[in-house]
Amino acid sequence: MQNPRLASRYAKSLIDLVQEKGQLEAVQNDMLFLQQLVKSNRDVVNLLKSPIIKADKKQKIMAAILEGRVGATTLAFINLLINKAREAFLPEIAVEYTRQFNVIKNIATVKITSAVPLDSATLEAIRQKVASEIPQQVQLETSVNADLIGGFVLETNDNLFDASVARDLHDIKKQFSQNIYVSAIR
Amino acid sequence: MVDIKPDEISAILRQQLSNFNASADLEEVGTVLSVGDGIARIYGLGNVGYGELVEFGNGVKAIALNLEEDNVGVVLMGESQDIKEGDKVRRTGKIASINVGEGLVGRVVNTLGTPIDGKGPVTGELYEMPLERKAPGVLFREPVKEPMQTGIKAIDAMIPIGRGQRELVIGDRQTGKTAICIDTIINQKEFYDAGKPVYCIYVAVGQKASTVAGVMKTLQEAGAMAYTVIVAASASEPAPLQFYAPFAGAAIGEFFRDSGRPALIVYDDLSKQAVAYREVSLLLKRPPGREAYPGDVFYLHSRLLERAAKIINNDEIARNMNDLPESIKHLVKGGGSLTALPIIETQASDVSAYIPTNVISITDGQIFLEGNLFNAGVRPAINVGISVSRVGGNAQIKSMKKVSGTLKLDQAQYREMEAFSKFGGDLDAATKAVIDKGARNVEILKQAQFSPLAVEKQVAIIYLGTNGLLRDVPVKQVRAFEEAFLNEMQVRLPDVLGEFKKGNLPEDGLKKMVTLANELKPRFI
Repeated sequence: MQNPRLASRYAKSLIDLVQEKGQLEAVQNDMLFLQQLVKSNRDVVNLLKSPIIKADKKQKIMAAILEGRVGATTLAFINLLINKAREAFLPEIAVEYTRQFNVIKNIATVKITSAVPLDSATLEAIRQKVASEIPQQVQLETSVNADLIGGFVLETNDNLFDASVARDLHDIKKQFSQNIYVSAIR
Repeated sequence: MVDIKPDEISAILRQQLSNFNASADLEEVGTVLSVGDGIARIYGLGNVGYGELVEFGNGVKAIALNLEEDNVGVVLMGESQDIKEGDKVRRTGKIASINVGEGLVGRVVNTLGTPIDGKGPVTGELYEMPLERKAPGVLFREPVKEPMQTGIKAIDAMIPIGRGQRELVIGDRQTGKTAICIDTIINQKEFYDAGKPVYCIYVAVGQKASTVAGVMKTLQEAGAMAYTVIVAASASEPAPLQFYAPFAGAAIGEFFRDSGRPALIVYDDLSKQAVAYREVSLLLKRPPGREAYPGDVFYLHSRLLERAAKIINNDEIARNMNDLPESIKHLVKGGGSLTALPIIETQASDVSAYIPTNVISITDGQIFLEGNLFNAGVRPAINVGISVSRVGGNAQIKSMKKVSGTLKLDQAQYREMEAFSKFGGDLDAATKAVIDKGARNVEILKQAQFSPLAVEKQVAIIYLGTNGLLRDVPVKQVRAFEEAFLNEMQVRLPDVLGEFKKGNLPEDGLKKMVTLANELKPRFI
């Protein structure tokens, strides 16, 4: 189960520390790398979550994977998590770090999901449209999901703009699933 | 397979598609952290308000009831099976509300106002009424003074109910609690036929769907569905729908009340509602109190029953009523009322349990039903001794008040002496007279189910009873005599009955009535 309160506490203390050290961007890159890593490699997540593998073993494995790829602070942070038996929350903490980093840097990540890859002209148009709506700097993330059939889904912060064909079809299906011409009491 | 006409289908399709809106809106969303036991915890939804309706991707709605530092606890109003961790939840920006209008009359709806009787959409203009609404303040109320005729002799004579009153109906299972309330609804047909309908709302909480269907059929057969709305949250519905059902009913009642019309609402029953509320509260990890009910279970019932009120008969003042929903502001009129008949089921006649004592203290009186009386054939099984109506006295029509004034006392005396007489032995004449009269009054107060009696007829027969005019009719013949007498009255002395209805007791009319009764007596001796 996710634990947002825990994630935000750890992320905040890490950010406080690296802000003092002036490594905010470097650690942000590390966190993005970690997010990429857990997304592409299910085994790493399972390793982190496993209660059977001992802490020292986990530390060794993580060190072997990450040595040279991430900074010393990040590695120390991961070791701390493992010592405190909180390593299972690492993916969540990494996401939370990025969120808090974006708040500090006044960046809004906008995620666009579309059925087919969008060309750069369309993306630029969307970026400009979004930039005029929100005060923060806009960072576009794109992804492709054929299940949407057509249209796009735009996500930012806690807001969602769903203009996909899949959603429309879903809404129609919902309307038909409830038939008020059939008696429910008998 | 039921045969469906093709053109019917295409009409439905067209209608469903026509109100489909394809334009997307910006939505505020959160993600599901965990789901189970009808509760979901949501991350995000930072701006959601207490009591706000949220919607899951699959269309299931939920109400936000726990706003915590890092998550929002919502209670699901549908199946939790298709909801997974990570699902999106969106705000609707609305607090839980129900669409109410004239079209609702004669329909069966669920807690959210969706019709479930299979008769298609609710027609006519609908107004959005919030489920939770503050009761009208003191300035906008009036004392209870108009009668709410139940058509049941024992109640109208001894425990009179007024419009705007809250009268608790309490008793064990199978003692006729629902029957009394259904009879009351059926009795309002008289007013519907006279063009001054008392709108009735029957709220079924946690009952079998078949029971609800039975009630609906009974009301239909009695012609009472024409002015009745049924709100049903049967036992298979999720707990939140069950504990919100009385609030939905109250919202419908308020629509009639605030538009200047009388309404009657039956909550059947509030003990099941309290149980549903306890379930939700425990799942939301609120601390349990006595009998594991949460601390605010008293407030749950008090705020619901406070909404029953008699509104002041002054449009000017009524228009400024507190917490009026925007949607009905232009319809507000004074003089309306909402009468509540909450039902509580006791276990083994224990009225000192938590919920019964709570609701007894909230309401303006109670009607106690007893299994012993019911089994002894006294139906309705009302225990007259401990049943009271705290405000209804002013609401009785004058003729009834005069006639029945001594009835309650007589019956109390009778019960005391009856215990004595059981030992046998010789009784003095005075005691014997009290017992004779009491036994006949008990017979008079018996009444078959689904046969409410007009108030003027009640006055006529109770007059005979309280004045000891039935002395020579054998106890077993009293009911047969009553039937014959009331028939004769209707045929031969309709003008006297008319006077009774207006509240008068004319000397000559009473004389004629007594003569008529004396004429009939020989047939039954």
